[in-house]
Amino acid sequence: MWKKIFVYSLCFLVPIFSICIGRYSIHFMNIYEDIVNLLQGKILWSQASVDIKILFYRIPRIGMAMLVGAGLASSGMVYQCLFRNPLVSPDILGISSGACLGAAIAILCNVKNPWMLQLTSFSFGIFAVFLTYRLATYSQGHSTILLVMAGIVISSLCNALLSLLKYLADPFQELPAIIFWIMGGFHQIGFQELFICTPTILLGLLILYLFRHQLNLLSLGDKEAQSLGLNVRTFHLLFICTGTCIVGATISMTGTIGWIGLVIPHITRLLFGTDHTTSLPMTMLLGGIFMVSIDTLTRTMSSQEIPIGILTSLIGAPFFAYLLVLQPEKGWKQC
Amino acid sequence: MLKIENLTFSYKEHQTILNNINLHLHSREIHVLLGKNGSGKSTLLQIIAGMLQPQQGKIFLEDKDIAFLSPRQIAQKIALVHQNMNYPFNYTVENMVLMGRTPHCNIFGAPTKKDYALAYQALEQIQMQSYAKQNYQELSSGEKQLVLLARALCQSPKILLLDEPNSHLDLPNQWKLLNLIIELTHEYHWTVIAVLHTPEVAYWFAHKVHTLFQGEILYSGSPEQVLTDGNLSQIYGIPIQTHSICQNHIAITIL
Repeated sequence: MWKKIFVYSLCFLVPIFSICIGRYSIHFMNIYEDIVNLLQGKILWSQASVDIKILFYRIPRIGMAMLVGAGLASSGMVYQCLFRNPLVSPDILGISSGACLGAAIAILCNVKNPWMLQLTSFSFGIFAVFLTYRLATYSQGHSTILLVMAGIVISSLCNALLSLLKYLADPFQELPAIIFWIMGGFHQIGFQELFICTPTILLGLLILYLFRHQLNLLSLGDKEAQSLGLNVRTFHLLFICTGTCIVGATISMTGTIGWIGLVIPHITRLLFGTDHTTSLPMTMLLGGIFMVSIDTLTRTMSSQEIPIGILTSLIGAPFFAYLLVLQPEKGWKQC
Repeated sequence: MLKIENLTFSYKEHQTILNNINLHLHSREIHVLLGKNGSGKSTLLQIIAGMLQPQQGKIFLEDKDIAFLSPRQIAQKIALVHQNMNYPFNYTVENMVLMGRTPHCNIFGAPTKKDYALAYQALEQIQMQSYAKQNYQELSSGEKQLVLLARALCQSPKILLLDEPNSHLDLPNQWKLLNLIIELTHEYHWTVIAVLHTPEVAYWFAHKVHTLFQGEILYSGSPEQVLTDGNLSQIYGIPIQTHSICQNHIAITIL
C-alpha cells in the first residue's frame, strides 16, 4: 500500500518540481499573486511576469511528457501480455519505423506545416501496423508469432526506406532535420499540440484501464483465454488498435522515444507484482513520472537541450541490464 | 446434458482428425477418452469447448447448439483444464483461480466480492487456501494441477473437460486429484470428460470409456466392457494383457 501512496505522491511532486526548475527557476509563491490577478482580469497577459510566461511554456510540455510516458509504458505492458513475451516493446509491430518513415517523407517533401508532418507520421505509423496485421492474417489466419514476424518484416522494410531517404537527403538541412526528429523531444510542444494529442492518448489509456482484467487472461495464451470465456480475436484487435493509436499519437508529436515501453513495465512488475489489474494503472503513473523526470534532465543538464531519446536509452539500458543480471525471473518466468 | 451428433473435423482438407463422432453424456457421469497420440482426443475436447469449429455435425449443450453460443456463454457452462502449466508471467494462486470467474463477470471482467468469495471457497475445497498469495509458478506440478482444478471449480461449470489431468503427477497426487474430481462430480452434478493415457486409471475413475482410433470411436461402454485385452491391443497397436488383481482394480502389463 505504501508503494502506491509513494507513486501517487510522486505524480504530484515530480511535475511541480519539474515546472519549478530549469535554466530559469520559478517560485510558486511569487506567481500566485500574478495568477489571481490574471484570473480576476486585473492585469493583462502582456503585463504578467516572466515567471508566469515560463510556467505556461512548461505546463503543456510536462503534461505531454506525462501522457507520452503513461501511453508508451502501458502500451508496452499490453503488448508484452498479448505476445506473452516480457521482451516486447510497443514498436514490435512496426509503428515506430513507419512513423519515422512518414516524418522523413514529410521533411523531404518540404512540408512546412508541423501539423502536416505529425499527421503524415501518424498515418504512416498506423499504415505500417495495418500492413503487419494484414501480412500476418493473410499468411496463416491468426497467430501472435506470425504477427511478430510480420512486424519484423515491415519494420525492416521501413528502416531500409528510411536509410535510403537519409542517403538522398540534403546533408545540411534535411538530414539533420530527419535525425533530430527521430531522436525525439518535447521542445516543440505547446498547448495546441497538447490539446490535439490528449483526446487520443487519454481515450486509449481509458480503454486499456477499463479492460485491464482481460490482460491477465490473454497472457495465458489464446486457447486458455478463450476457454475462460474471452473473445480472443476481438480483444486482440481492441488492444492492438488502442496501443497503436496511443504510440502513433505520441511518436508523431515527440519522435521516437525508446526504452520506456520496455523498462517501465518491468519496474512496475518488480514493485507491484504481475497482476495487470494493479500493475497496468501503476505502469501508467510510473511511465509518466519517469518521462517527466527524464525531460527535466534533458533541459537542465546542459546549456543545450539533449534529445530525450538519448537519455532514455542511457538510463534505460543499464537499468534493464541490472534487471537481467540481478533480478532474473522476478515478475516473469522463462518458458 | 451434452449431445454430440455426427461430428467430423479436419485441420486440413483430406486429413480427417475426427469422423462421425456421436456421444450422449449425462450429469454425474465421468467419461474417459482413450487412444494413441494424435487420435483426436484433445481436438475433441477443444471442439466441445467451442475453440474449434467442426466441418460437420452439431454439439448440443442443454439442447442448445453451441455453434450459436458466444465463448462467454460456453465458458459459463463448460470448463476446460488444459495440459499447459507454464505461463510467462508469475501470477499468484488467488489471481489464477479468480480468472475462472471471468465468464460470470461484467463486460470489463472486474471481479466482485462474491467472485473473491467463490475463489476462496474453491481453494478451500482443494485445501489450498493457505497458498492464495503464493506464486503459481513456484508450486509443484501436483499443486499447479489442483489450482487449475480450483479455477475450473470457480467457473461454476456444468461440464468439466480434463486434458490429461494426471500427466505430470506422481501416483499419490494422481490418486488425490482424481478422487477429488469424483467427489466434486457428485457434489456439483458435473459431467466430466477426461483424456487419459492410462487405461488402469480409467478403469476405476470412469463410468464410461470411449476409445478413439483413427478418428472414430471404436468402443464405447463401461470400463469392464471396453478395457479388454483385445480392445486395448487394437487401439494401442501393441500386445496388451490385463490382469485383475481384485474386484475394482486392474493392472495392465505390456507384453
